[in-house]
Amino acid sequence: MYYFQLQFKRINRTFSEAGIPILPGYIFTLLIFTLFSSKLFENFLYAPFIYTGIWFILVLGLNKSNAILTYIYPKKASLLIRAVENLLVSLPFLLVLFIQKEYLSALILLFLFPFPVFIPYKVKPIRSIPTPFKNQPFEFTSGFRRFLFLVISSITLCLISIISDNFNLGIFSLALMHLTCICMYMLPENEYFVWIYSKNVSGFFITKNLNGILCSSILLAPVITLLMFFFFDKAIIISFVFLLGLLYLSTSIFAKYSAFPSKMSVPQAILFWLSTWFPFFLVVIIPVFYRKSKKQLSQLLQ
Amino acid sequence: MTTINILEKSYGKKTILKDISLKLQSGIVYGFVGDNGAGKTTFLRCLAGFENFSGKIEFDKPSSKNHIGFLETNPSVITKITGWEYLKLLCDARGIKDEKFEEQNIFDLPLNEYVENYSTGMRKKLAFMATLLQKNEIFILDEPFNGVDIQSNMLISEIIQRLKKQGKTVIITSHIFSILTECCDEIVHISDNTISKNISKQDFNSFGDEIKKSVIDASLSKLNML
Repeated sequence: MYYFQLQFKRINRTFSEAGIPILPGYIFTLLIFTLFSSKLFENFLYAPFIYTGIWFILVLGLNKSNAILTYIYPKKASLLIRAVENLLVSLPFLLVLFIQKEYLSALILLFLFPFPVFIPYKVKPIRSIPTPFKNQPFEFTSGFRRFLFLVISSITLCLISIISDNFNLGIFSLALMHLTCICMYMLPENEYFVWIYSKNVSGFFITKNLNGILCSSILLAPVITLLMFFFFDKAIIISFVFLLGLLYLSTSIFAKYSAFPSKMSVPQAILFWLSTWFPFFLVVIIPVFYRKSKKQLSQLLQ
Repeated sequence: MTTINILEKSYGKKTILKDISLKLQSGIVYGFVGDNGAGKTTFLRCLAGFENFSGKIEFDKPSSKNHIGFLETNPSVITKITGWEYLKLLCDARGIKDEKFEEQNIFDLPLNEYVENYSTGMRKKLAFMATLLQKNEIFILDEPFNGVDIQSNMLISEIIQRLKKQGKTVIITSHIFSILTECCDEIVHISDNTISKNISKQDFNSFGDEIKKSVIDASLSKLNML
C-alpha cells in the first residue's frame, strides 16, 4: 500500500514541479486523454488495434521502470504489486474501449495486463543492434535502436497501404516515420554532450538541423520512394507531408533546447502540440523556440 | 597559463565559491582537495565553462574551451550507443577525425557493447580515453581514480605524468591523499568555499601530518569505541 501512496505522491510532485496545481492537473490530464482517445476512434479505422498497441507499450515501459520492486519485496508480493499497478494504468483504456463498444479489444487487454510482470529485465543485451547511423551524432544512433519497432511498423504500414491501395494509410505511415524521428529529439541529453561541441550556438543548431534532416531523410527514403512510385498522382501531397515533417523536426530540436537542460515545460509542450493542429502557427513558434534555446545554450557554447 | 581572478559562485543565497584567485601553469599537475561539498566540482565546472560565475578566467588561447578535456565524477552516458560510437561522438564534436579506436583501446574496453552496460569504472575509463583522443591542452579530471581497478589506476597515473611532460595542464581532484602526493606538483586546499592553502611538493608530507592531527584525531576522539 505504501508503494502506491509513494506513486501518488510522485505524480503530485510532478504536477507541482511543472507549476500546475494538483487537482486541475488531474482534470487536464483526463481531458487530454479523453480528447486523444475520441479523436483516435473518430479518425482511424484500426483505432482499437492502435489503442491496444499504445496501452501495451505503456504497460511494458511501466514494468521496465518498476522492475526494481523485485529487489525490494518478496517475489510474490512484487509480482502482485506490479500486476495491480498494470491494472490501475489499464482502467482508463478499458473504460474507453467499453464506451466505444470494442469488447474484443477490452477482453484482450483484460487478459494481457498481468503478463508483462513476468518479462525479465535483468538480461543486458551483449550484441548491439546494427544501425546505418553509426557515424552520426547520437540522436539517430540511439534513436534507431530505441524506436526500431516504430521504424518497422511504419514500413509495414506503407507496404499494407500499397497492397490495399489505401493512400491515407500510406500518408499515416509517412507521418509515423516523421513522428519516430521527432521522438528521437524529445528527451534532453546531459549538458556534457552539448558542452563538448567546439561551436557557437548558431553553428551548433546548424549542425543539429542538418544532421536531423539528413538522417530523417535516410529513414524516410524507403517510405517516400514506395509512396511516390505507387501513388504518383498524389506526389504533391506526399512532398508536402515530407517537407512539413522536416519543419516539425526542426521545431522539435529548438523546442528541446529551449528548455535545456530540463525537459520541456508544460506551456512549451502545449505550444508545440498546438502547432501540430495549426501548422501555420510554426511561423511564430519556431522563432520563439529559437530565441529561447539560444539563450539556454549560451553558457555551454561560447 | 590560465589565470583565475576573484571567481565567485552562488546558487541563490548560498555561496559555493568565493574569492578564488589562482594561476595554472602548463606542464604542472594540480590536485584539488577539500571536504565533501567544499566546492571542488563546482570550481571545475566553472573552469570548464559549464557554470556561469562572477570574476574572470583568462586562458592562453581565445578558444581554449574547445581544448579542455573534462572527466566527470560519474561520466554521463547516452542509452543505446556503443563505446565505439561514444568515442566517435566526442571526437567528432571537437573536429577530430579519428576512427582507429580499437587500436588505441588502452583499457581493453568492449567497444562494441552499449555504454549503459558498462560498470562505473569502465565508463570512467571510456570517458578518460575520449578526453585523450580529443588531443586536449587542459585536462580537468574529477576523481579520475575512483571506481577504477588497480592496473588502470596505475595506467592513469602514468598517463598523467606523460601529459605533464608534454606541457599539458592537468587538474585532478581526489580524496585519496597518497594518489595526490604521487601525481601532483601542487595541491590546492579548498575549505570554507575558498582556497585556504596552496601546498607545493616539498610540503606535502607536513600537510598530510596536519590533516591527520586536526581531522583524524579530533574526529576519532568523539567515538568512545576506537
